[in-house]
Amino acid sequence: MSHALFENIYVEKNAASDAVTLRILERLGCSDPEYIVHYKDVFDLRKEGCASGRSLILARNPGKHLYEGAPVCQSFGNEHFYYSPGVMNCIYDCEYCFLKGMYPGRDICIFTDIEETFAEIEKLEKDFPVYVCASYNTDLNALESITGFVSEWCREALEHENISVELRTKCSRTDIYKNLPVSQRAIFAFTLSPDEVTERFEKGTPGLSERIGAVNAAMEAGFPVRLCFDPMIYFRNWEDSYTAMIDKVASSVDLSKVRDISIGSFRISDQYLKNMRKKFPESEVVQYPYVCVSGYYQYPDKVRIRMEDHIKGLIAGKCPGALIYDWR
Amino acid sequence: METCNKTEIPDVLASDLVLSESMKNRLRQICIYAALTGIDLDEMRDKLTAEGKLPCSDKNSSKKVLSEIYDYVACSF
Repeated sequence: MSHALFENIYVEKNAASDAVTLRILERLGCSDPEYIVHYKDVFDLRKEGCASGRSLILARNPGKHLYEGAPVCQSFGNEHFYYSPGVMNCIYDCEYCFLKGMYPGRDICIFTDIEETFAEIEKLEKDFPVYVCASYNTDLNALESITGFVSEWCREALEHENISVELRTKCSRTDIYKNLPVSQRAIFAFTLSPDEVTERFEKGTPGLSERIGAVNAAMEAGFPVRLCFDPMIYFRNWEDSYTAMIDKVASSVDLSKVRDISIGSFRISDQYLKNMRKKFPESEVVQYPYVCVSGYYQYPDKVRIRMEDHIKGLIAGKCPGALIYDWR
Repeated sequence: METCNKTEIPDVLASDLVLSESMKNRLRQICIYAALTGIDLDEMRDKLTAEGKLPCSDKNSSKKVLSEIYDYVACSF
């Protein structure tokens, strides 16, 4: 990755000397960032339209380093489930992503004080096992060349028996896994979608075949792997598309070696969807007439159950013993 | 009979139904999605008219028709 990926690079003055800042600037070949007082001075600016460029902001996290997981997110049986906003925003451009409702623009903010995050988790770890989604507001694998954070999270999981980390990704890189510290507590979770969903709704992301390549690379390196068929999107021809997707995955991945599988149809908080509907009036997936249940928009039961049962049936047919987590 | 905001709801459909504000919002969203996905609402309206379900004279019957329209647009792929 190079400096050319970002229109501008900003550095908060108080993060200017941080080791992570210097590492990132060096990796991007940037010797003259613009210095700012607070990351929000740039990050919170509204940018018009999707075509506008993207800036990178390096800053220290002034707020919480850990948040409790949302009720519509999978905890995979973990009682103490958190997410860490170490990087805010994603390099990809998925139309349905909650980040589009949460953040005002496309800029990415990297918090350089990741050691503070680890210190906070290690405090909790003394009392109970902690499960952290480290790639919740971003795709850390896709940014690994810039940040090195995937490696740091893997190291943290390796060195602490009571800390498990999920690294969720759509990235197709296969080269990173053999150089990462391996443990059974660093779980790579791959979001897999039919090619039609990728082409129509997940701009900038690799196709299914490429993502499957990354799944196999992670497994070969010894990492536990989770397959996430989530979110499932409803569209004309969805049933054939998802059937073809499962066929392809099952023929390319040894499902019996996969740690577990997560499935879920699309759902999102009402406030985020309201924001997204204003920003994206032409988006089929955003403008679907979802039903609101307890503050979250989701498909009506007759659609949701059909979709989720369909994919569960397909998976069970290919791998009867597969451990499947359903977001409900 | 109530009239409704006709920004995204086709006039003929709006005038066939008796809608509360929340029903109008629901129908508006259905119409937006139908337009984006190429679902023909005229066809649905003609069918409902032929079945004697349109025009509606009250909110109760409108609610049932709205539910049918919703299923047609949002649940039929």
